[in-house]
Amino acid sequence: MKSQFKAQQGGKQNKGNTTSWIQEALFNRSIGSYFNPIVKGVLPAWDLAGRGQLARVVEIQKHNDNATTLRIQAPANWTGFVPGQYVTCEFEIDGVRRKRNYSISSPASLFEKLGQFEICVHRVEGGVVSNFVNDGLRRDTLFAISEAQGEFAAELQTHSLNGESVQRKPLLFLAAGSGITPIRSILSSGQHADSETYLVYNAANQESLVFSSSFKSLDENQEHFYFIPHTTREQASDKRLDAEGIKALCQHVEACEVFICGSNSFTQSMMDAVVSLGVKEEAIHFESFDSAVNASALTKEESHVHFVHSGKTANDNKAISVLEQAENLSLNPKNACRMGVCHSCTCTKKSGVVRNMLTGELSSPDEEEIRICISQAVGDVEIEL
Amino acid sequence: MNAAVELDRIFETVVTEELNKKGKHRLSEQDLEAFGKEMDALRKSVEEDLGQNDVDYMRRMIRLSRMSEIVGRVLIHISLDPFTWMLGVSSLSFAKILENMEIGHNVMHGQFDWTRDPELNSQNYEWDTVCDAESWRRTHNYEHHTYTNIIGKDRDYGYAVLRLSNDEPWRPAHSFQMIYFALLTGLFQWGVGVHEAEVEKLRKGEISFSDKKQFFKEFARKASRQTFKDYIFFPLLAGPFAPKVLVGNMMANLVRNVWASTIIFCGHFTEDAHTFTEEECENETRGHWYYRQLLGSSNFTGGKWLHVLSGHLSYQIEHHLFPDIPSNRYPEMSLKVQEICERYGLQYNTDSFLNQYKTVLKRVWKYSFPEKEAVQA
Repeated sequence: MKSQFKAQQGGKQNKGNTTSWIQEALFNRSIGSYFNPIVKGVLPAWDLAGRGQLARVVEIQKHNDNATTLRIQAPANWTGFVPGQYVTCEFEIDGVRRKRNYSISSPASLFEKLGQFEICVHRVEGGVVSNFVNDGLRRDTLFAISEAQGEFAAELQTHSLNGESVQRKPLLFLAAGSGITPIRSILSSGQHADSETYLVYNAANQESLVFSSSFKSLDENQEHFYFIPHTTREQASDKRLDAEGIKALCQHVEACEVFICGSNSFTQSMMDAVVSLGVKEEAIHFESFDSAVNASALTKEESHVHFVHSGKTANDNKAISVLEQAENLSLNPKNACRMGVCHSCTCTKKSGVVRNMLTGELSSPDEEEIRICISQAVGDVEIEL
Repeated sequence: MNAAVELDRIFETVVTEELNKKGKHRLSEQDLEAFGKEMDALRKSVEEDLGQNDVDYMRRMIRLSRMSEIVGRVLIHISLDPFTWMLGVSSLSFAKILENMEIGHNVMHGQFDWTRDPELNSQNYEWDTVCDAESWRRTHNYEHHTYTNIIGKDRDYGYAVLRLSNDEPWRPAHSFQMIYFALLTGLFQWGVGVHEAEVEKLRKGEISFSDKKQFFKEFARKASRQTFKDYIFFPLLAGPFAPKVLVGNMMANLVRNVWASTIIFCGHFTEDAHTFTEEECENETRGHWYYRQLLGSSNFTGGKWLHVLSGHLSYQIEHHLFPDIPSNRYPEMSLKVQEICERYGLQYNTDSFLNQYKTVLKRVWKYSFPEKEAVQA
């Protein structure tokens, strides 16, 4: 996903004009970057080195052991969001900066009134950021956020769907687990207007149905709102939702505009199900995420290395380094020692797992800097080259 | 104890000592491999422990260096008496030393790439010296750290000016190398800046100027920026007091040059630091790479601030074994490295700063002269 962080000002950009020449001459970097360590002592919420103003955690609410809502004070210059959008958050955890996308879960009114919004973070097994937020995060923590992104429910904002007024269309929301977060924002902002609205919310058990009380009250107060919680692992008779199940919950599903949010596998299976029930593709809106964070879970026999900037992909499965794969595609990444000493070939791995060829160890699946001369792809990997 | 075993042990010790005297205690292939594995394990244990403290330490150093640069420049600027001016020069020298040694050198090694902070990224960093960071990363991080002390491949070995080993044939010009040494010390940043020009090869006609055009362009760009800062912009800012600022900045650069070169010479050119031939290092194993880094480097002891101001190059051995591990970890690693070396019977070259520097002077002097013919028995 494309990050909208402001361009990081490193050492050697903005060649050409006099001011930047003088900045480089006097500071060997931008003036903001030079003074940042000093200014930070006085104004900790400012990052003059490129990240701008930082967001602040103002309240932490634990729903259960595995889900926490953070109320966040947005920076003064943040432009706001449309319900259904997400933000990229960059936390510094034990010295390492880590970016994650989180959907906003709060109503638009909270931002309009107080300049705040909320995200709800579900614990992911082995996930560094989600575990940190659920266990170790403190109030007043400062972190960087991007502008809001995503098109999940952009059409609801304009009150027209495929050219028709929202009011005349029944809406079906299908959510699983943390996929509820953007839908919570949409519904609590009243984006569904007075349409006939079905919310089918899947979770392992009752306790995991975060926000269910607010949906219950919508169900009670709005004539055409139907909240249908669905547990998949509470009782022996529970099972995953399928086409039949959807049909039973929502009679005229084929007439609905469908909004799906959940893990990749959930989203895919729901899309197949509603298509089989006669829903047209243009009436399906979805937002999905990868729920696997376990390195070994991403390990595959077949490996594809995608070089993001050049658009090239290496499919060779041979035991060669990512550097050699890039060279075979006639990319010419900077490199020198080819044995992991000099760091010349350091570049960003956007996603995927690599093996350190010196020690045999597997990397995390996170976005991180790797030395491509001693890294070997394990499964699918994206490299910024 | 059995007399035969005892004799065996004595014999072993004598052989080891002899080998150590000659320079190299040869380890068997198996021992080299095991030695390498132990180094890898030590590296891993520290890598896994890296965290907030390490980043905070580096950020503190950066803040300290920036603040003392500002204080130094302001004091030089406003000084009306020699004492304030000296204070300013000291503060600016301190800032430059800290920035070059503990911050720039270490950050550019990739010691903080794991933090993903663009300010601490090895490939972005530019430092306060006429040496262009990109050129430094090529000549130092790559050439010097990969081919450490291999005569003919490590161009840092004597900087192509000094003869520091009999592996290099003596030429009459070497007679005056004490003078070159003094000049290199005072003008160190310029020496390092033009290092990549490979002047010795240009002179012999092995390479042409056009091969080095790109380098000279980069060098001119960086050197003009640095010159503008220290010798034009800040002096002019003081109007009629420009000479005072100009001299102050020159002094600060001189202090930094002398300090940096002294530290660096103590790292590889002490009396007992070994050199290697290209043949010895062909198809080198990881174990032998570690072994070469260990024997080619030398440490010196001292207090905390001596270590900080040397950029922890007082732990040159640890730095060469683990060039991309944050330098503030070298003291703790040093204890383990020494313990491992003892078990393998390997030299761990360390002494006080002063003693090590004396052996450097001795070495520069000694190799000014041609090799004495070996006395035939």
